[in-house]
Amino acid sequence: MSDILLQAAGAAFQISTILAVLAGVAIGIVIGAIPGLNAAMAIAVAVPLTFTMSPLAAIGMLVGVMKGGGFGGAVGAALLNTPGEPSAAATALDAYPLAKEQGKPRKALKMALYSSVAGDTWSDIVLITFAFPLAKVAGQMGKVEQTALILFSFTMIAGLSGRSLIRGLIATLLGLLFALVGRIEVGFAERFTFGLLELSDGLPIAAVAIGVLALPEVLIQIVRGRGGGSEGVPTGDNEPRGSKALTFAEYWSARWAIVRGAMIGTLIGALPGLGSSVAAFLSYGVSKRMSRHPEKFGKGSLEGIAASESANSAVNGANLIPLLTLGIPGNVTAALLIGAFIIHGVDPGPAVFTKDAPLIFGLFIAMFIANAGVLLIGNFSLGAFALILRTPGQVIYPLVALLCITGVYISAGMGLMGVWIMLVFGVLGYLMRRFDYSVVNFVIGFVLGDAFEQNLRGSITILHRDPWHGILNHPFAIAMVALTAAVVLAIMVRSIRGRF
Amino acid sequence: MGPKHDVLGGGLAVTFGLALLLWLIPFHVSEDPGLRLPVSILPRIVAWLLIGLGTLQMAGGVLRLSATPGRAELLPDRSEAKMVLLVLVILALAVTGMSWAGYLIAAPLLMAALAWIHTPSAPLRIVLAALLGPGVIYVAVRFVFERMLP
Repeated sequence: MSDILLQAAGAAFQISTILAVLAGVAIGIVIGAIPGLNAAMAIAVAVPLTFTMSPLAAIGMLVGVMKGGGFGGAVGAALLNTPGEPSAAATALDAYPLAKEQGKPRKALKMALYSSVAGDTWSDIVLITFAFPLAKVAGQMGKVEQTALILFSFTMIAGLSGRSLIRGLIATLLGLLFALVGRIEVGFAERFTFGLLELSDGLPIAAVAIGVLALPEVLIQIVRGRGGGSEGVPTGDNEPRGSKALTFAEYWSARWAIVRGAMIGTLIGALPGLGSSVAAFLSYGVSKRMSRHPEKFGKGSLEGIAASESANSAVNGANLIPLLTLGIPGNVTAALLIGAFIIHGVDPGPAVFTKDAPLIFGLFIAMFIANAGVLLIGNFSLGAFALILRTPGQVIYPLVALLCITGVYISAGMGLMGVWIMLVFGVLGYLMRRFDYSVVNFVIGFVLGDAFEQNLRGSITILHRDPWHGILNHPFAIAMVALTAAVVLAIMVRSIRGRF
Repeated sequence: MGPKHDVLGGGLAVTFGLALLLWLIPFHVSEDPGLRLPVSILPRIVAWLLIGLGTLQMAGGVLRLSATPGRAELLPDRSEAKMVLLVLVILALAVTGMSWAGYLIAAPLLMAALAWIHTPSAPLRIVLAALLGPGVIYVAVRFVFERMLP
């Protein structure tokens, strides 16, 4: 064990790994700060940059992007009232009034930064504490249990991440279907390759993810001619010196909001499908109810900023609990991380803790390096945020479009064919957005599709002789199927009640 | 999203499900007789689920439409959709251009075109961005990541 730890520490503290993590944090903060772009898009665009890196540096960089993007979302929320991330919308409720109306943007950003890092660090500790025991339990699961678990996750994510279960399920099914393209794992049969040799190995995740996640948003921003170049961004240059800083007393006054936010975010992050927006708003609501000064909420309350930011950042670490222990992503950033794991030859799931233990320990260390990076880079670049937000959208969005093309070209491993695939999925992503089908569900269906099919085939092989008696030997699977049915029923009842 | 979106979206899901069952699966999925389960089993399950869920969504939309007759509802913004289509055509031309003329020719032209569509002003800024952006990306990919671009 100590050998593994030393090996992990050695790899994590290599200068190349640290630089990769810090670069990821910087990319995440910058992209997360730009209205219209978010952490998931930042990860999708950053995946191609990791191809020449070691698995730890690559995954550490993407985790850095995720953590940086989480805080970056608060920048647009505080300075423009335009959250980069939907989860930062709760932050905007207080950060913007504090920055704009009270003229204290630096105070708002510092509170967001410190709360974000506190929430993130807490959830990382929870992840490290619970991941190993959970992985041991998960390691006992067979194919039948895993099939039932993936089915449950699909339903949870489909039902809870959007407004309609039916739309969520259709999006998940489409993702699942596109995951089936190519030669099957065993044998030589092919599906939907249309005679194209390039599709034999399936659709490249980078092309699909960038296509549905990043490209449609960039296209929409380009044709609307919006974003960037925002005039009137509060810089805090005229702030009196004393009021710029966030005092320790002010930070301490929001400690319970931070603790509550971190706990709520961790709990919600560990469950598939709910995501950081739910965590942020739930924490904001709870803190408002429990605050001694609820009347200040919505008018620049530091507690409000702390509650929202600590919760939405705490989701980051907790999201990795189902990802690492079960191989199931809780949200779209986790789904993209699974893709990155696979690209770098690592299969997330319970076996990863024995097969790739040094990598996992190294990743845990890299997560703390990333937290320190968010704190340092965030602190020292507060003044630069106004500059980022003032950069014209006329330059930013075409550049991001070009980065999408270039990234897919170098990462998909199929030349310009990968770029064509990205364009096709860009059209699909645009249509899905316009018809309110969740691209998050689509990506999760796509990422889990292959594992679902393999487990389903294995399950049917195990159960085919005597399915009814055979299933009785799998109580966990029965419980998961029952839970799936309960989730569907609960969502249907809620939907019917909402309508009448 | 309103009932018309439900009818249209559900209709598309049903149509795609039918296309899978009647054309895509029979003609574009090859079977392996050595396998216990047919290769097409999961695509077929997905197709039937798409048809079922799409029908439910359509039915919900129709019910809501009949409950609120004459309600005005805007389908996706057509002018935006046309502009998105234009940008996609430009992207497709740029990708084709990259295979013929190379990245260093096609990428600046693409960048300039997209910047002009975003905001048709500040030509000097557009020219600078079109030259610097692709240039920096090319140098980074070629010399930092040591990968070739077309």
